[in-house]
Amino acid sequence: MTEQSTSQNPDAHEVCLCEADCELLDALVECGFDVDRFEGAARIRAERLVHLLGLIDQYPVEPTEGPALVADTMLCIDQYERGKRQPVIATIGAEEGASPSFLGGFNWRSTLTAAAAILILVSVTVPMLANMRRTAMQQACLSGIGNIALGLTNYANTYDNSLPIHTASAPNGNWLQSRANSANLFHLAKAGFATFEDLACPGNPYVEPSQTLAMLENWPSAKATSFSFQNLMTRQRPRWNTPPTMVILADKSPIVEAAHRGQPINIDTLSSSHRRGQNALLSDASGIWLDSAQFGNDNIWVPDSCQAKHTCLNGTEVPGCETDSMLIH
Amino acid sequence: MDQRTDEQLVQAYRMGEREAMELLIRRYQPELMGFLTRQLGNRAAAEDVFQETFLQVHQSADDFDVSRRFRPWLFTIAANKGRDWYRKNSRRLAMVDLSAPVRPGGTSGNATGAEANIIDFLADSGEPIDAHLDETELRTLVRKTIDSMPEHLREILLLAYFQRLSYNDIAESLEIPLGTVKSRLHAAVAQFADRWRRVNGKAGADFNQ
Repeated sequence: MTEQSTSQNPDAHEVCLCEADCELLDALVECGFDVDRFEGAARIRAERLVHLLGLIDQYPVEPTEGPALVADTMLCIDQYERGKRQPVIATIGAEEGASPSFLGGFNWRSTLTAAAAILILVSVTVPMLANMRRTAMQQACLSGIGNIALGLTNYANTYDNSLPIHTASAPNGNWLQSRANSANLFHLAKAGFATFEDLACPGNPYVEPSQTLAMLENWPSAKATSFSFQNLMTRQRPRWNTPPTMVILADKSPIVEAAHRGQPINIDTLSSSHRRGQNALLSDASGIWLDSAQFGNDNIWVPDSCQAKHTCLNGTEVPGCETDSMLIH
Repeated sequence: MDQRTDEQLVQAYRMGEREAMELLIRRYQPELMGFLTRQLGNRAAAEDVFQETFLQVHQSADDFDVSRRFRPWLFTIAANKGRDWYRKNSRRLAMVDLSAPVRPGGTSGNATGAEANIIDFLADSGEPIDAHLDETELRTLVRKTIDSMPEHLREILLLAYFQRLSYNDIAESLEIPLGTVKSRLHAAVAQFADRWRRVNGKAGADFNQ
């Protein structure tokens, strides 16, 4: 008895035909179970064996409904042929209710369902992923600003609470024509109080490699500038890490380039770095996210003297007092 | 009624006569469904395999040698498709090598001849083994007996007796050696007789053990 049959029927036991039955069975198979070919004892043996096997004919088989099975089988063949001609979308347009699954095809319903599911999935996940990416960039930027705050603290401790100023300190100078204000902040990294990576917001795609920046005195172009720094072209310079709090630095100003072109600016515009607002560094060394250009009653892009929402800047504007933010680059 | 032979119908189908395939399907529907139902013990499965069998006939029609008989070829395909279905779907299937030899004169395995029951049809009492059963009881017990047999023995029994295939045809159909076909059929008949006796109960005295 095989392991198989034993496992299927624990009561089963070894059984086999006698040698004479084996020989007779072989002869019966070869003559199509025609018992008339046998005589004497062999015939009796053959009749009894065939009678036993005749029981197989008694196996209950329900009569089949001829036309349905024939039609279904022909449909199966037709679907296969269609599938061969259209291997990618095998049975689009096939009859309803047909089951092409074992042909490996897709019907129009499953195709549309899959397409709709993919569409919904994409419509949900793409904005979600984009939002997550923006948020991650904001956080990385804020982290950089935190390092800048630490660098400014060290700088101020070294230079009597002063903010770094490098070349744009000429009194009565025109900030549109003078060397860019961003050189002041650039000096923080050059002097070793911060790294160029800290000064490069991830939202800015134009940042040069640090090795290149180390050879320069300022960002090579306005596009490469990530942050706007307080305009220090006045004798009333704010001090670092001292109240009252004001915005010292923020993501790149959206209005300076328009001012360079002589075009009217909108003082409510948000920085292009994150588009939904900007990270900002306050004079008390804290970093915050601003979703408008206003910090308290102060517009961070323009001096207090410039209150018109749409105006033109000529480069002579300067902060009105030590607490007036005016971020330029 | 179309008088053309099976082989002529296959030839016609090759030439593009769609109705020839329908005729073949209709012609073999009762017999093939009977075979597959017995082999699989499941009518729905038999219908699925029936369709797959004729799909295979369609796919291989150009390769069929019309000088040979269509019927053994058809049942070869059906047996293979049925075996595939059984392997995929039946929880009763055990993982056995279908080409494994079977001990001559009995079933395969490690039992010794001394432990085996020998069936001798000549020693039968001669009384009909199903005489005491009504038709419903008979059919129920037959089904129970056949369904309880291992799939590989049931398959060869059906091919040999029910389909009247020769040993060579069976060997070709199952792709196993001729000697294995013989020994496996011997085992199948012995098991069928034994299981019938055990299922039937009352027929126990009909066989000399």
